[in-house]
Amino acid sequence: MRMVAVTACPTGIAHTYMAAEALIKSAASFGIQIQVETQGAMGIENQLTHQDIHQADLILIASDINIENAERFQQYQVINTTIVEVLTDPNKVIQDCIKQTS
Amino acid sequence: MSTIRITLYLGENGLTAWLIKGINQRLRDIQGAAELIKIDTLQRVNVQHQLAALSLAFKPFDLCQIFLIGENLQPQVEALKLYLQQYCVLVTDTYTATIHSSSPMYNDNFQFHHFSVPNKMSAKHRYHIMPFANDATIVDKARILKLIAKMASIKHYKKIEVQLIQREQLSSTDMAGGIALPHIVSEYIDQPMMICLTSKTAIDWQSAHGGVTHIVALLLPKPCTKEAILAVRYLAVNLLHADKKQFITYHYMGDQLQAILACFMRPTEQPIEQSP
Repeated sequence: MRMVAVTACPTGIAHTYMAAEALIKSAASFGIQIQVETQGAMGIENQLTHQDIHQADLILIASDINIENAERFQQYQVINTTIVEVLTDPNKVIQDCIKQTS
Repeated sequence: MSTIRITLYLGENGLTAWLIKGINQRLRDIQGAAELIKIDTLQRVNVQHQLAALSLAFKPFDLCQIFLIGENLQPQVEALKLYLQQYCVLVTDTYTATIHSSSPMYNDNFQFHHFSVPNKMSAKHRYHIMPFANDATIVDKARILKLIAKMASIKHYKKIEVQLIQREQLSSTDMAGGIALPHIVSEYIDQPMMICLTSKTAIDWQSAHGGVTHIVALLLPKPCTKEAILAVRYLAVNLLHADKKQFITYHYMGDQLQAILACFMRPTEQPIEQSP
């Protein structure tokens, strides 16, 4: 299974990167290949291409703000969550994603 | 049974076999146990196991800690400190009222402040600098945020306080495990700043995690250097690890907290896999 995610928070210096790390670790524990784009104070990192998005089985946006370039995801089923939910229980977030797409 | 933590920076030779031997000689009569902890990875070994200690691959000037648990430790601890002072830099483990340090943290100048919340609050109450409630022992999140804002800039504290509150309103910065990480990027901040407040009594940080004893406020200027953002990022990601949060909360002294937090603001080296 292949998953892409975007993380973003209002300040963009801490939670954006914590959420990204938490998702990467959790996805790995479920055997899911994941690519996470971070939209933080350092700008957009690990930017997802249209090809990345198209090839993904799961798309997750974990954000407390409106993300940049959201139009990339318009044609796809996207699961939205908050940064707090990811940081509180990343495994539950990943499990919910799997459930919603199966 | 008591515990003592000796935090130190290794010298230019790193952790050598003769240094471990010297440590062991000072601890041979200890009534308890002694562990050597490599702080950036929190790997720990029994100090008496010389090869295991060497396998931690300490580099020159690495931060480490000797954790002692046992009875009547003081004589050995004093002897050990005297020995270590010759080859390492010991981190002070006594309380200083405040630390105002602009010593470099990571490779950017984070100004560091530490306060014990009860001491700071009682001082504020005594001198009527802030209009606190009659009972100075009641410490809440709003008062802490105001204190952080005043420490950051007496000129712009009201605006900084609003920014801190607005950030908290979006979601609590309680990281669980007793640590809160309030943080802002603000046009009213001149230089990167870390303000660390500690309290042995948990403070309600208005989250589901059950109170905090260590508040690590990070205030960055706008615009901010990449180095400062990276330092905060490394620290935040380190706080995903329950063991690192727990380790931080064992400490209440400013110098120790500064050293440990600065260590967690660097990229963490992956621990070398130990063979069973």
